[in-house]
Amino acid sequence: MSSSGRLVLGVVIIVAVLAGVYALLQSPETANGPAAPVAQEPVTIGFIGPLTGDAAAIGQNAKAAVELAVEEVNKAGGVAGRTLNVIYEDGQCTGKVASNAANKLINADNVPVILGGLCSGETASFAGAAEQAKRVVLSYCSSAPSITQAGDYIFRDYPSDLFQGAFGAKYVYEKLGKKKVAIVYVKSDWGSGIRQVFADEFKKLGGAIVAEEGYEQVARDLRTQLTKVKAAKPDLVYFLGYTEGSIVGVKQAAELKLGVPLFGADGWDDPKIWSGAGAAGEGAMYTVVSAPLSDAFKAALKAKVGSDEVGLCSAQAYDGLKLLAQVMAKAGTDGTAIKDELYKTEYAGGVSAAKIAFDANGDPVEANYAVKAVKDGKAVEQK
Amino acid sequence: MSYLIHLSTLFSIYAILGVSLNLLIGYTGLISVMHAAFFGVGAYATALLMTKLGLNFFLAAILGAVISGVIGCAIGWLFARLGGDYYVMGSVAWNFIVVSILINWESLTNGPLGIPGIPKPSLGGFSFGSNVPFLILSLIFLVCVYAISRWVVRSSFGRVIKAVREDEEAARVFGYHTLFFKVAVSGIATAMAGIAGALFASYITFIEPTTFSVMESVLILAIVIFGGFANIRGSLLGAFALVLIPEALRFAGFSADIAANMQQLVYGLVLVLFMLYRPQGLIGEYRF
Repeated sequence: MSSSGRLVLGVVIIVAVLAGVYALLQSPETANGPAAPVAQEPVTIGFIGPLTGDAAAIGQNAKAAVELAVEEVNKAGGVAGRTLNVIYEDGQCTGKVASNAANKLINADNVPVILGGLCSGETASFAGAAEQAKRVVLSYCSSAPSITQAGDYIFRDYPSDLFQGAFGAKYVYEKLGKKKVAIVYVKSDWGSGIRQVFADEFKKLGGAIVAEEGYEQVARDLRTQLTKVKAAKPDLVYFLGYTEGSIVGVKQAAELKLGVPLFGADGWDDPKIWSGAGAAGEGAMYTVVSAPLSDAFKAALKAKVGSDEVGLCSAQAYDGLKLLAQVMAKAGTDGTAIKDELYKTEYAGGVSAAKIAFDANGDPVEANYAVKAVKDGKAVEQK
Repeated sequence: MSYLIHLSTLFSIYAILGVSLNLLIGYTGLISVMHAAFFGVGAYATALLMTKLGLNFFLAAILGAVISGVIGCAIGWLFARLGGDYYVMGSVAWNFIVVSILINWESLTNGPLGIPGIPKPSLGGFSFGSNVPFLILSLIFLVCVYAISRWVVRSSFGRVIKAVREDEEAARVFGYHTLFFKVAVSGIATAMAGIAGALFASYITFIEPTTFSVMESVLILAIVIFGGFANIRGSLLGAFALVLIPEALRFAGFSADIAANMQQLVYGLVLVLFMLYRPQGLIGEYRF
């Protein structure tokens, strides 16, 4: 080995060793779990969400909402007199990275609670580790039905897709009176999950699913799927898509003269879709988790991120932090105590729901949905 | 401490992937960018055998490795006629195909929803569920994989695959049936990747298709390049460095606003600088 090679190797090893030592020094943990808290020490909890990568826009917005909530909690005296402090870790919307982040938060930072993850894949990947270490997880955005069974310490204040799919099916069948529906869906945990529940519920009500066409998340041409759907002659198309695919899909549905109404879910709650689709989007409807969103919250968030946008889960993230602050003020900073208290807690006056309480699985008891319809390029809530 | 145990477990899994890929790339000269596909096949096979058929982890993992290895042999045979750059392209395509199958074969793989609740290994009433026993288990697997790889590269078989790398035609002239050697080494390497997949599935307890995308293959390739071609100890070092550097950066103390982006930026910078000053990897024995 040349001398320069040896030098490089040496530097790499020294850096790695130093990093390891630093990680060890950071970890005040003892064999019996969390160390006893000192009275005036700040309370530290963890946050996980996609801060880089595909879903970073939602993640960054949620992080801003959490920062806002932290400022407010600390201004109002903190958690039982102690300052609240949040460590933000990037989960990149992927299981492996989120699992690393959670392990770091649990074992190195020794946090009693993790607010996160955002994507269902993130939450599912570290639920087991958190459960084992007896730390509470409160997800503010994961909607996959499987999270319900993830464990005793796993909560969420965002409703499961089960509710949304069922709500959509009922609305289409009863309110809109459509009996023959075709489904176009994006093949992701969100799209496939809602599609299943919707189809089951719709058939149970007595309706017929005449076609089901899935497309890849990266697809930007849905003419094949839409042509097949048109041939099946539905009364309505239930269209599950994210922003980019939906703009194309909605436009192409108009080009192919589908001639039936489009109905979507919360993925469509993005103004970019309706400004992008233009006239083709007129009359489209979708279900969305209804959130009261006070004007004060909207204004404060706007001051923080500089735009009007309230991300998909920002209200839930904001409420989640406030809820945790309230619970920790009462129960202290032990994971198990927080868990027990969470099951008993009722949080009122939030911006994501009028009342947040958890059922025996840690899912929100109430899930309220609203239906929005697109008129003149803007989505308006239906009464 | 448990954080370090977690990272050590991940290190063992990625070291298995690195060492096995090095057999293909470093020793045989087949630049494969599809190792994550076999990682995924092993993970899915193990997860499905455990959750749907209720098999024990060890049986499921061995079957997973066999399935991955058999597919690896078939692909190795199919791609043996592709030389150089074409092999790279073919392997990337195969990785895409596998991920598409995992996403679209919903009745078997549960599609994009993934498979949650994969059980932890247990043997005769002893559970490897907690972190330390699991780490020991994965280290045992790593040692086995390392020992097999070492034996492979030091045997006469190893000398032939190196000859294939240097000059396939010359090896054939000497009477070696090079196709057989390429297929065999593919089978060995992909079966090892299958073992890594089994460990990963059981450790994280949740798998989904995008975990096994081409980017993951690129990461494994980076482990091999970082450690050095044709040196299996190098792949251990590569896995150690590439698993640890991004985690160490979590402690670098960037302000919260830019931390996530800075971590990736610095990680990228470290890799670029490293390749500029040390293109043969840490302790590589071969340069393309």
